[in-house]
Amino acid sequence: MPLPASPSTRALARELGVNLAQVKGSGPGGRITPDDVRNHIRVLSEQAMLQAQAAEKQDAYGEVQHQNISSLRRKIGEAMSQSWSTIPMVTQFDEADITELEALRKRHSSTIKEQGGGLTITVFVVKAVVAALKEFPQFNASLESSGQSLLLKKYYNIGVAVDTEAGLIVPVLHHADRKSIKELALLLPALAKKTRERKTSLDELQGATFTISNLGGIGGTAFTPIVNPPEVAIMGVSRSQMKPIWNGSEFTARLIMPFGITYDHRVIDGADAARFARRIAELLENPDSLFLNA
Amino acid sequence: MTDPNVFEHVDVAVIGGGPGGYTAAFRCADLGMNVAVIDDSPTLGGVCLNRGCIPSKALLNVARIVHEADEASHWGLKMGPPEIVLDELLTWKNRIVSELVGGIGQLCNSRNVKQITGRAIFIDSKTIRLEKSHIGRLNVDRCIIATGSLPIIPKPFQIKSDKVWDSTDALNVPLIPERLLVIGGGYIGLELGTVYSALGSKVTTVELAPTVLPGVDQDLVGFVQRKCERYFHELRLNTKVAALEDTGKEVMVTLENSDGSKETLPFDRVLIAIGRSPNSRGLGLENTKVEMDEKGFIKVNKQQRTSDPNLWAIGDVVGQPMLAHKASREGQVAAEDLAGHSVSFDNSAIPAVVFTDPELATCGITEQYAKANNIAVQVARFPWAASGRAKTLDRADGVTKIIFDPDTSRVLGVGIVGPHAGELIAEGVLAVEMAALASDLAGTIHAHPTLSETVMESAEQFFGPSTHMYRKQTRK
Repeated sequence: MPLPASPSTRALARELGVNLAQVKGSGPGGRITPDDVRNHIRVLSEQAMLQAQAAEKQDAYGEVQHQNISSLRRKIGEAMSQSWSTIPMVTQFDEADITELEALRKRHSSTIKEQGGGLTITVFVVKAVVAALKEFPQFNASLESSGQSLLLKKYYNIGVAVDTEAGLIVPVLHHADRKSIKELALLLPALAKKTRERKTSLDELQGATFTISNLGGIGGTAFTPIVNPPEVAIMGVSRSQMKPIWNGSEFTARLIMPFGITYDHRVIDGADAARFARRIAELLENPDSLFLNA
Repeated sequence: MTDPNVFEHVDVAVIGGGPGGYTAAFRCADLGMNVAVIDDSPTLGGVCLNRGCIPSKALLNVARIVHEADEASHWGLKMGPPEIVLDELLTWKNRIVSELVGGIGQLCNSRNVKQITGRAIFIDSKTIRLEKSHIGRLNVDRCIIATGSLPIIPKPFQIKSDKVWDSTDALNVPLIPERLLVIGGGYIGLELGTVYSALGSKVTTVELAPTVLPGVDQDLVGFVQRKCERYFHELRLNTKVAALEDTGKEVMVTLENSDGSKETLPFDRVLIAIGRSPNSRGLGLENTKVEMDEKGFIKVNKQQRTSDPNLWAIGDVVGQPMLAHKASREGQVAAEDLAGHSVSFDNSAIPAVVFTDPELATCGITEQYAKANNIAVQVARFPWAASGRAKTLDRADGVTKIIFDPDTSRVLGVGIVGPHAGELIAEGVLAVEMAALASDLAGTIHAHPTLSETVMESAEQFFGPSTHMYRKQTRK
């Protein structure tokens, strides 16, 4: 059957060396328009250019190698650029003494493990963050597009960044306030595994009101995470270390967890950020309070 | 007298000056090439102009008037059957032909296209020997072969008799026979049958197939067949002609029916119109790299190139459909290819018109074709009984039919039967070429009161009832 293209479109395709059978028609009834033909060439020549670049092994200074960037990485890149260029960000650094919390964690960790979960410091951090967000609602909000008002969220969906082979993906713990520590300890590892296997649904990746990124397992002392719009704040956790802390009369060895809160300065001030960070530290330093406030 | 010592050179030689040949030659000249047209007749125009399309349409016009004179008595116009003055008719027909031929000649002169009369035979791809010409030999860089076709006269009918006609003889109208047998119910047979029955002959048409115009959808053929049955003396289908014998007084024809029974009937003249074959023999093509298929058609690609790098071919000699307009389009493609332009014969639809009364015209796919190839289609019909214009012509014997893709509503084919179908089909061809949708045709304003509205309402029928034709079934 003849292709749905007018004689002038066919002539154009012939002139430009385009095989009409490969062109998808955007016109009514699938008609192939002259623009479809031209776009097809654009797509083909971009592909050809990429392929040609990939084939180059040298530049002016020496040997090079081309590596393809996955579509996920490109999407992350675009999102990061957009965030960086539109949000005035500041990171408030603080530390939490988690010596008691770590002891608590160790006491219950094998029980949770038997049940198929993983009781990590991150689970406690999620709980502390939720409690703090309840007291500082402006950190659990979005700036409305008019810029004139803040949309305070009355639900608490905590995104937890997961490092996968393809890049950083953030699955979401929906209504984390309604989940017990045990429930979170069962849910979070499963969610992380699902994320690494790229099996998460779209729902599981959407709707976060606040994000936590814990790089402590890998190492490092501090980093400045980038706010993930439409959220207005993000918490970055680095490696906990034993440090000598002055308790008023002497130095004692305490387990210190460094963290930072990056916030959208259009919405949140330095003082509030400092208070928020302090509150999280307080909650983590007094695990009993997590029990009271959770 | 051919002088073998006279040589000439041209860049491009077009062999055959019919509609394909002269169109190609003119396009080549317009694109700046040095061209010669070679035809064994001093008058250009080929079969179409001299012994085909043009003379037959002139005569068919007369047939139409004869029919209308008859119909007019219903309208309060009493004319009585017209008197046919044969030599005046022929003078008029011949004048039309000679004026058009003259016109082609003038167009050649304006464009500096050299006209060579003679029979061209290839010595090799770049050398042509001319017979019956004042030039002995022509050296050419490239050639376009447009030698057309010849009427098929099967061996058993090749009796040496001036009472057995081919279409050329019939169009010369040497006389109006009392009893004419037309062998073949295709478009040529029906058109010539229409002419002769209007001129006063008792026409008997025999056709091997169960229907006239095989290959055309039956719902359209029906209108033509019914009229032919009225105008002709007899229309015999499923009938074979077993033998012809010229007794001196008349031709005795033995007809064989589908049940095997035979009967022998006398006729004054017998017209053989069973088809045409490509004129590819006797041209010296064996001295070139040109390849032909088993039927004698020259094999060409979409740029009209043959297997020989110096030779192109167009028109009836390369294949079906054997129509002048197909030949002209191929002629343009060949000329553009010779000029180095990017070109291809990729038309989606070639119209075909049968100039009987009523006319029948089709383009694109037929219902028959769709069925045979398992192509899902939706067909919408608008009967001319519902057309105001058809009523003013007193010609409700017509229908406009459009074949659509059921999912996209794209127009895939159009079939029209009724007076002026040949003119109306042009919109259908454009619709198919442009991949128009039902809504494009239905949404375009067609002048009222004209027959073209039947095309618009037919398209409306794709969706449900149209203004002048109600039917219950609707589609979202």
